Amino acid sequence: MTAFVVRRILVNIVVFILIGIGVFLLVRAAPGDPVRMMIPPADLQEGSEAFIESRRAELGLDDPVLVQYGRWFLDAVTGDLGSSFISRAPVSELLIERLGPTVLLMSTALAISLLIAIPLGIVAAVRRNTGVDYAAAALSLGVISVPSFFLGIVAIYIFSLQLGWLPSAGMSSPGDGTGGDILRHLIMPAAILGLASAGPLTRYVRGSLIDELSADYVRTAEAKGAAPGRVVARHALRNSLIPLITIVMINIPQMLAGAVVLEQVFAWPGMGQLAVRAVSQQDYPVIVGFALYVAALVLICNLLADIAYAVVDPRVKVT
Amino acid sequence: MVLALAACSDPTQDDTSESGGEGATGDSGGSEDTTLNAYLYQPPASNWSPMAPASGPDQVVMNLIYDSLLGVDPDYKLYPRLATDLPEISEDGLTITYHLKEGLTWSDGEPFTAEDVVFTYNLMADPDTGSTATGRFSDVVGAPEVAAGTADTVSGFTAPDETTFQIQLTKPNVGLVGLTGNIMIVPQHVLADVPVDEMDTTEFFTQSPNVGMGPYVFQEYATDQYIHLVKNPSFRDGEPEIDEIYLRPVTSDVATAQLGTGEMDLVQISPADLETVEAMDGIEIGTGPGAGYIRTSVNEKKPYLQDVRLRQAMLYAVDRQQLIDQALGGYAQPVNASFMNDALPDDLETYDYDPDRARELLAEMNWDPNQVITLSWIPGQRDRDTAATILESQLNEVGIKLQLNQVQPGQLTDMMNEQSYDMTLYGGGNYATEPFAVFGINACSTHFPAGGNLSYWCNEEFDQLMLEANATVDEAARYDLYQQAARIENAEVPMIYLYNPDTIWAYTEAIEGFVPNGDFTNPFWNVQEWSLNR
Repeated sequence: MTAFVVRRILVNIVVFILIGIGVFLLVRAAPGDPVRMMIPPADLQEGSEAFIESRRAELGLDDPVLVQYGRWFLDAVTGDLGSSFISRAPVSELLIERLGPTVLLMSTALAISLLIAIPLGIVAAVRRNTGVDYAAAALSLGVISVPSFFLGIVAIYIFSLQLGWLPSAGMSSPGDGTGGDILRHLIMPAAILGLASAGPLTRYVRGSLIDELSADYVRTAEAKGAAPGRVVARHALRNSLIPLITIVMINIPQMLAGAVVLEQVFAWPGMGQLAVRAVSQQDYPVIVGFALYVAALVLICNLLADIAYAVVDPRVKVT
Repeated sequence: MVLALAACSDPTQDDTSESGGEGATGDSGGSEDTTLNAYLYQPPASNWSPMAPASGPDQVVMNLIYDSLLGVDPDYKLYPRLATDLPEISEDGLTITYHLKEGLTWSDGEPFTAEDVVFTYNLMADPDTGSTATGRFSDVVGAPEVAAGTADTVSGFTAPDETTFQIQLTKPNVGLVGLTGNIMIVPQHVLADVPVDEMDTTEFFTQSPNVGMGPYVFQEYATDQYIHLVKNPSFRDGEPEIDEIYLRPVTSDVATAQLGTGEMDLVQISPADLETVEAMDGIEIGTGPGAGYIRTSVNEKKPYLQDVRLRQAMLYAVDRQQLIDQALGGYAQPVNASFMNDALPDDLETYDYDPDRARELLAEMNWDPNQVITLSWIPGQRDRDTAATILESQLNEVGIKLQLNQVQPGQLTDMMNEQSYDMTLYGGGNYATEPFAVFGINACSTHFPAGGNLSYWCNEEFDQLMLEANATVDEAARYDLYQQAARIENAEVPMIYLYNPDTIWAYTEAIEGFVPNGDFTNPFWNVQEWSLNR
């Protein structure tokens, strides 16, 4: 088991480094010049060119890309991801500042989605092809089909503007920032993000539980006279949740994509906003930093899924 | 009354931020704390340095926390702020003298002197600080040496006494006043020990620019959420009325909605939101003309784009009033030259919509109707996208095959470097205060990338008039020369002028004293005269 985990970690580190190289090169292969873009053409004046040249030199953009990569890599292994071209603040600082809000938003959303998906999936599976099942299917399809930014705007309209129950944007009220205040700001974005991933999760829970319910051991349990509730809860459900671990882990990076959009809508001070701005400004170090963060998240989630699988399902052989 | 709940900050809360009160804060214990919430159209880059490349949202903040010798009012006229009056220019045009107001202090209580001004202007003229504007000072004695790195300070910036700041020039340059008088002054006593090449990354500018001469003092930037500012008790005009300001970056949809709930007090809106906002109770609208304008440059490096009649025909072929009505709800003015205000003569050709005249001009020059011209622009702004499609249809109507090409910002930069575009649609600039700014987009010596001349137009007579005007101290004579230059530009059409959009502000009627400014980075230009009566 330990050997399995160690090997998986080593493989992931290699993959991570390769992703780093890929992102670094791709970002620099994009057209344009981040320094020149700092000054709109209509504002160019005598002296702008001197600024552009000196800034390019200062940022090391005049060196060959591989030299730039080497320099960046040596810094990166010590934890220094460089500085933003625009604000000149260290990238790691920019990311860490925004990590908390993003993690808070995503973990709350994940909890909400599981709280919705598991009970709803069970009910839909047990009562399949009844009104409850169809309603659950309709709801799942609905939240999958409607883009979350749209749901976000509608929610702001209803709960903030019409009813006045919840604040419409941000993570805290200026001058406040207590737990209750943050919670009030968190409800809408987390609920919408959670709802969006609850849709597919419900379908998975339902499908996998139905598979288990028709398995031989369930029939045996029923034949032995176990109560129907006990059959579902003790036998079928436990087995059906195993694939769910993988689905949830794979879902987390997808959720991040949803969070990037919702952070814009709700002015949530997370990483999404930072990433979107960095891309539009060609702020190379920030883009690379963010991409590596996403890559790390995906790799860690996959790794955890693998390990959890091995732990939970005795049929998975680890050598 | 949701709005009251949302907008009212807790008056019992301690003000932990007595940064530089010096006892002048007064006791606000009894009265209500007044807080203004304003929209910021984008989170700041959080580099609040006057030397840093211009970034709109950061500019809004800097306009509140710093002050300058001169300001620009909504009519785009210079007026004195830290100076007692507009500067004196010696008869030979070689000495510019500013007199500063006496007895002023920084927000931390330190005295403000002409040395602070000399310090700041030196930073602006030194490329090592990350300044983008060093070229503006090329006519100042000693500035080229600093730009070249052979001297540390500009000998032409001096402070003969505590309240006098002088600029010595090697040749007359009147436009320098309009182009540099509004530089924001930073505190020497805070920054003197920072090495010049670390000026762009120093904590004061990137995290807490909490000492300034502006009406408000920087308190805190809660990342991507808000910038908190409190009034400066030692502001030159006395302490402002409104106690606190929060600048909050949210999407324009949310901002407009929050205007209705009272969470937001001041928002810059687009013409598309006008109808929604006009239907709200207690919300006022104010507009001002912008300082720049939207145009398309025509690349004259391309042989088929060199004939002036082609460019004139393009102007005649486009119904710009229709474009303004359709894309901007009428909130813009058609443009016929880069010059504005007093530099704009009233006898210019207005190129009113006349497709027949366009066809005549094209016939006269034997325009090849099969020649395809490509218009490249960065999509995503409603008015510009509409402008592009109207250009396409109306130019095609008179026999100019225009093809639209949407590009990414980086792609456009590359096309500019390679001079490979035919036409490009963009906007910006500031030509309303200082007419000499037009030199930067139209002169033979300012072809991109040395300047912003993206049409690669070159007219020696125009350049001559501009340079002569900038060296002429007498105001009437100077503006006469600018008007002559404007007539040449208007006849030669170096670019297809489109429109000058208004800046539209929506604000709660509780704000008294708000005067709409067309410069969208400076809504707070007279904030010390505002009060908030909820």
